[in-house]
Amino acid sequence: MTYKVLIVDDSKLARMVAVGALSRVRPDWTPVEVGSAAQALEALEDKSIDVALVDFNMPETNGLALTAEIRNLRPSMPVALVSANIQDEIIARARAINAVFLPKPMTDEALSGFLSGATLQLRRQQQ
Amino acid sequence: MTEAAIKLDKLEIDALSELVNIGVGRAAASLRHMVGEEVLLSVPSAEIMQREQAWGLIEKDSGGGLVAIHQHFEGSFSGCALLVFPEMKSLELVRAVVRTDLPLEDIIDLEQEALAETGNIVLNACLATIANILKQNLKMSLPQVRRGNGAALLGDACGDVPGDLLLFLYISFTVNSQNIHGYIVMLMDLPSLATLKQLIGEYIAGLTCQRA
Amino acid sequence: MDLISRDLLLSAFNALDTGVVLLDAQARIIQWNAWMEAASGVAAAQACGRTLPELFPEVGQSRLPGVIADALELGAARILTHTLNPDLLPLQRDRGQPLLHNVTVQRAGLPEDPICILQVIDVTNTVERERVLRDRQNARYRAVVDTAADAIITTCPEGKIQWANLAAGKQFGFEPDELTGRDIGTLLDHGGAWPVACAGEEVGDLSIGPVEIMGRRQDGSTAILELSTACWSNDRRTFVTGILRDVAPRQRAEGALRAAAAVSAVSGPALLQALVRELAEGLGVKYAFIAEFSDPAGRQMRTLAQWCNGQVDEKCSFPLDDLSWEALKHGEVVSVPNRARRHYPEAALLQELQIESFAGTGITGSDGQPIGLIAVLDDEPMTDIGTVQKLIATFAARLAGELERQSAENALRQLNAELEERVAERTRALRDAADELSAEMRRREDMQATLLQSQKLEALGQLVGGVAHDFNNILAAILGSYQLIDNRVDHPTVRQVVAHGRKAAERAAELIRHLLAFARREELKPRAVLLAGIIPSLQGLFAHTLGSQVEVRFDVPADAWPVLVDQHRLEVALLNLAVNARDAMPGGGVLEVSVSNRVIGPSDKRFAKAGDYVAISVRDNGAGMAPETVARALEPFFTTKEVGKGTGLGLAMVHGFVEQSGGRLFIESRLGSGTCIQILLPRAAVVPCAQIMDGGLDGEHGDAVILVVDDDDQVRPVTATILRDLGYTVMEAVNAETALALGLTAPQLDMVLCDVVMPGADGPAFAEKLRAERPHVPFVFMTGHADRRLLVGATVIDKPFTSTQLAEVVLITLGRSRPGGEDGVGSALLSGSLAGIG
Repeated sequence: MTYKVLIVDDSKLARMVAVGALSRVRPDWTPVEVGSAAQALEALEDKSIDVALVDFNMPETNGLALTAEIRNLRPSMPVALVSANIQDEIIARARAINAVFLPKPMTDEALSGFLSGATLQLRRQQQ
Repeated sequence: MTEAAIKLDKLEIDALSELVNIGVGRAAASLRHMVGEEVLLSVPSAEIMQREQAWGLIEKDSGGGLVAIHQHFEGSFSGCALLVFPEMKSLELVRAVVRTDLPLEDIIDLEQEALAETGNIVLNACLATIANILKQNLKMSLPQVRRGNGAALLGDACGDVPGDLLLFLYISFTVNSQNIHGYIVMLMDLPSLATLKQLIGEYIAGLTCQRA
Repeated sequence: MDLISRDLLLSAFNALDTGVVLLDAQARIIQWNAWMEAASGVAAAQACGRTLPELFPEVGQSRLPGVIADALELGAARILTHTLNPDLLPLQRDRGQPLLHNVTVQRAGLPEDPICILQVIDVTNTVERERVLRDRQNARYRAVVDTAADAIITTCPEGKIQWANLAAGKQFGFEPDELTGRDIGTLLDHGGAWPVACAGEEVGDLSIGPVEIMGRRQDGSTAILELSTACWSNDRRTFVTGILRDVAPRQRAEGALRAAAAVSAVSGPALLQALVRELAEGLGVKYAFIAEFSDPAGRQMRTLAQWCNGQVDEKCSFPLDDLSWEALKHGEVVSVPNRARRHYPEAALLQELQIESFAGTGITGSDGQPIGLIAVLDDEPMTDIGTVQKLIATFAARLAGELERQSAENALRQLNAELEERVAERTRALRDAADELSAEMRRREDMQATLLQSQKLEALGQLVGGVAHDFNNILAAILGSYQLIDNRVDHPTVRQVVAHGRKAAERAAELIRHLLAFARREELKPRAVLLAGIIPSLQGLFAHTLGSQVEVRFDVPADAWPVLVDQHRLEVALLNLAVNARDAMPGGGVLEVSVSNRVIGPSDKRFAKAGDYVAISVRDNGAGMAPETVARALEPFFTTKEVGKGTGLGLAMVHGFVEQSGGRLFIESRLGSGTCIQILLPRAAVVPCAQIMDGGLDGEHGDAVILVVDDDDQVRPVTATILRDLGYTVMEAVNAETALALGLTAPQLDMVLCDVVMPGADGPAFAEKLRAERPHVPFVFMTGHADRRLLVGATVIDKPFTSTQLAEVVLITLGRSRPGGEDGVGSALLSGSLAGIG
């Protein structure tokens, strides 16, 4: 089973890192890159997105606010909030809206761990 | 070597600002330990510009007096990194970082040391992150605090770094519901900028290769 | 010499007046200097090989381990200040008080094999000094501001309250510290009267005079406040201070005034004149007047305005008659339409003006008391008496308001004058406080410069102390060798060469003694001495040394206090200063040495600690020094003399001696106007006793067994040979172990001459072991430069020594001669107590 992963980050480089990591840990999954929260919401209108990776630190709408909106639209979608700012408050807020916290720079192991959890969740939903 | 030769393209600038963003994110995490509450740091944009242009921008924005924490770094690329704030904001920054119930006189006394240490954390995190991700080794000096207008800081802190171009980043600092804007400035000579460009290029190329 | 020996480097490392710790790549301690040992109570041996958290568990909770890891891995240099990291390491000062410290962490060595350097800097004194200064400033400031009845608030240019006084808290219903950090706009509807800077714009430095604004208390109630603000700068930061005064009482007065003024468009004297004219013309009478009481008893009236025959007349006074009394007494208009003179024959006014009719009434204030009178008179009878009464009643009501307003206005004028005076007074006090503050900051900068200079000298001193030790050992061998050659050779040329050599070595020894004096390592023998007895006796020496071109003048009053000082060293110091003065006056001149008593009060503390001092001034009228020369004059080896003429140690040596004696040295000099060196020495509490002088030594040498212990293969044989030449039986040992074996087995042992610092067991340890078996054998320690605390109560001979000096010490120690006086050569070398040696 392959899935579509929405990668939201205003930095092209950060998206490249995420896409690179995804291509290594889940070569058959499909990345969808967007550079802002607005584009992310647009992309989500296409129902085929299964998983989202959201950068915390973005201009205009920040990652937490976007994740909250995604929760509204798709309550059970696996979402990861990505940030170098590893503080209890931010991790706690990510947890509060049922998102996983992934530290930057993103490592293959951390991403793989999140995607394994996401796969289980998506399978359960399909059954 | 000409200045055009080291002009960074859009992706390279994006890469650099992402690296600094990761760096300040880490700095925020260390500051959080110090302050005891959430600290948000972000670098919304990065540019390469002429020295005069940068100081002009900073002075226009801050209305005069500036305070800068600066550190030199040495390695495959060398130069001087500065964290710059409008002088009027420095007391607020110190108040945000140290205990808030201190009287004004105490805060003024603590100001120099608290600024040096806070700037030290931010600059170390940025430089170390860049060095680490680009797999380089940098040696960094201890921080120093300077005050003055843009031109004076330039002459004082980084007088020994030749070259006319610098990397200019806005930084936004939110602590204790105080929002303070400042700048990170990295001054390098042309060979260092060229090396940095090359290292970033290699790093980006590495990402692309792995994907293929 | 390109390479410094490891030992020398290590001794320098341990002499540093700052904590240094070196860590290997695994963050384990590999060096831990003496400063760290003293401050932490942990010996280097105990610290090495362990990590800091292993040594001090609390460090594990701090930022330090992470910072060390960053330095080793990333090359990040970090500063951890006591401000943000209090009590980082468990360090203490001598007397157990906490040691405030900053720590810097840096990487050194190659990136692939890094080490980490921690420097621990003691900032206790700096912090304490700043606290004292601040407290002093605050006390002054509080005296002015905290007792003020007006609210005083200081904000940053953005309007955030930085500071507020007690009255401000009371005015707005907060505790004073609750106001700090609030926006001024939440307290005041100032409408821009409080200068607040918008982004990118500076607050002007204008003072804004009193304006009225609305203040809001915490409970939501409001008050009208009068605000004066001033912008001021301190340390390049701008602040705004405002003084706020509740003006409710004055507001009420002004309200009353406005009500009174509303009665008529015109006011003041013009209104009164208008009233009398209108009244007289309106009623068609000849006379009209308004009068008030002009004496407190209420017997005399004075007109405020009067109308007479169609024009305003001059004011006049008249006694209160029965008609006027009648008019005042009733609350209504009293009228006499005709034949008034007949009804009131006593009223002089009626008679005088031939009055026929009269109407008038009293004017009463708001308190119901009469304040004056309004009346009309005519020489014809009045017909329409009803209109007359009505108009007079109306005018009387108007007048009551006007007269009250006038008195309120006077009161207000006075109140305003007082208010302005008080505001001006407060502004003056604030400005004085600000001036005081900047003066204090300048003083603080001066003090820091002084501190820096003394730290620099201290560091040099420590270095010098270390090197001098090694030189003394070498010189001991050289001097001894010359002595032996001299004893064995009769050839006059050779002996002359030897004499030259020995003289040079003695000069070197003297130079090292000066160096040690500068480094404050040479032990002084201070006694209470009277300068009046010492300084004049230097006259001959000075005259001889300085030559006939320099005129020497002494001014030493007999009542100069005694000082606690090493007399010999003081004399050398004064001679040094005199020689410097002579060199500054190549063409001759006047040298003045004067002594005076000096009391340093608490306010002069920047000169010296408070107390009684004796000041010795050495003044010349020579070339003087430039400021940059003065600044460096106390550094050792700094000299302005030609190469070969001076060692550059003179003034530094004097400075070291003075500081060691608890005094201070000041240089006052200007190019072209001479130099004055002033020495302050603390007054001695005791009165000096007469000096005990003694003759030479006359004991017999030989017939004793002496054990010489010294690990230095150059010094030991020389010492032994000198003793053998004197006729003694000598045993030699290169270390304490051999010495102990010899000392315990020898059938006879009369004395031990022992080095202090040796590999293995040191001299004092060996002495302790030997004395356990042979308690009565006297010990003499030889030392180049050792910590004399180890040697309290012991006899010590300083290396290098001459054979004469050694011979004397041996005689004294063997009990064959008594120690000499202060000036005796032998006793000058014997710095320990000889008591108990027998």
